[in-house]
Amino acid sequence: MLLDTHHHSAFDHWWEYAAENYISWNGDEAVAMDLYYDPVVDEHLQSPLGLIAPTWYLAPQRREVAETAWKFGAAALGLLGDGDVGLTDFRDGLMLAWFTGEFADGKVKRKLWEACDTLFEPSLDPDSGEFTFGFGLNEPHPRGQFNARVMAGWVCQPGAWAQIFHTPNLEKHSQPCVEGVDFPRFAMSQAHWEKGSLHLAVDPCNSAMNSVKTSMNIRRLPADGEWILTSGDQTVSSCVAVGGETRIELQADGSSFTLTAADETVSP
Amino acid sequence: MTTRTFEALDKRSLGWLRYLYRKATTSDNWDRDGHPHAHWDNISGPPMTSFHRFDLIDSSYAVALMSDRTPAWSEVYSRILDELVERHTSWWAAEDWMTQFGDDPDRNSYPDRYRPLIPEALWGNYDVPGWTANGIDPYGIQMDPVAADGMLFFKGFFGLLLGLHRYVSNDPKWNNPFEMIRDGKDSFTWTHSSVMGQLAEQWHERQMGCHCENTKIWPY
Repeated sequence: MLLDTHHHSAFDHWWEYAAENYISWNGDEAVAMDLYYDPVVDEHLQSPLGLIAPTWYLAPQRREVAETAWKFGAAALGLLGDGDVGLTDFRDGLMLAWFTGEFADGKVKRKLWEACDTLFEPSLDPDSGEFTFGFGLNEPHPRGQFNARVMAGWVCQPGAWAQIFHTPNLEKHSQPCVEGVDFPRFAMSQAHWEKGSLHLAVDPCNSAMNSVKTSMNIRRLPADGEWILTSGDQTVSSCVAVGGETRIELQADGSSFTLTAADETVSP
Repeated sequence: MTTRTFEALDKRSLGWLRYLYRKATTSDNWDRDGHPHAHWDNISGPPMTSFHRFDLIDSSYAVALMSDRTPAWSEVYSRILDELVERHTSWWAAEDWMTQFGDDPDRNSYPDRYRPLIPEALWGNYDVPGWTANGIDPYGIQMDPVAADGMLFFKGFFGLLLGLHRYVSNDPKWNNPFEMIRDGKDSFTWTHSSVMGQLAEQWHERQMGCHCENTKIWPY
């Protein structure tokens, strides 16, 4: 899609074969999948992991199979019932924490993370603002693959991973944007263009930076002239855009700001 | 039109972004004569994923997802993904392919925990998943991990990483020719498009699928 090619048809061609030769079905529902097949020795290696392991990668491509696999694992560990989530070791929860964000939120996701946090050893550094999981491993560096996977699950909202591939947000590359943020002291917790306004919020890395004012550049505004910056408490200031660019200053306390053209005829 | 929601990122997500940015922008040398910084994970998931490149690709997922929540701020996400792609072009990203030639000399002394990964009848005489077996039949030695008939997981995950970089940054940088492996005669020129074209062509030619490790086809 990004490069205007049709390479993904190779997957569809392969799936016809895979569905018949690598997957066991109960009606329309996949119930088992080879972990791998070796055509030289003609061996299908079966494993309970075979169906579950590809979930993240199948979610954008064969969502029904991926969701079946997620539900199978989630039910087995007690996530979908009324009982407790049955994790005895942090490793039990790694795949579940990774995949669940793509399929569930609300009560299910909260229940999962309440259980995972008892084993994952979450740690927010009070100075740097860096967040990692230690998993009780007592290692000098946070375990990379485990952290990366479960954080993908933490930030993912239902369907968000598949959306990247099905309906990518390409408009963002031509819409107004913010640059030159004093990161990592400050990070943008909100930054999106919607209905003719740029919506922004700044997260400070620690308590010393809380409520400090920080400046940043705005680019690709659709009109030059006066723009109005409105804070959450409706305090108003203005700035002038030239060549679609201006510079603004925001208070880093997580509160929301909107930047809107003074001329109300500027279209969204 | 797709309805998008832009729920604010929380402290945990932005804290992870801060850590990952420091990790990705800390200088290290992934060429053959160097070594990745110790904070890159090459110990998780043995014997299959205990290689540095899996930390690169796994790290890209949350970055792309967070970027979609703050689409008007991409500079940090783009920088991280660029650093991940850069490292994935290196010798160390293909460490297994560049060092695991022929059958595994230790395959008759694997630990019992590998038994679920190997066909029962072939125990003691079969390479465990994760041993890429460059050079065994039917393909012979093929030093370029992208051009190779096998190594699907290398080029597939690399293609995904390249795609996420392009999506988040809109920067065509990696669709210009770049060198991979960069080890004397084992230097190979690719672009984002040519990597994906190679993978698609190989996959179209083999409907049953391409090998990841020689000679294993994973239904991914």
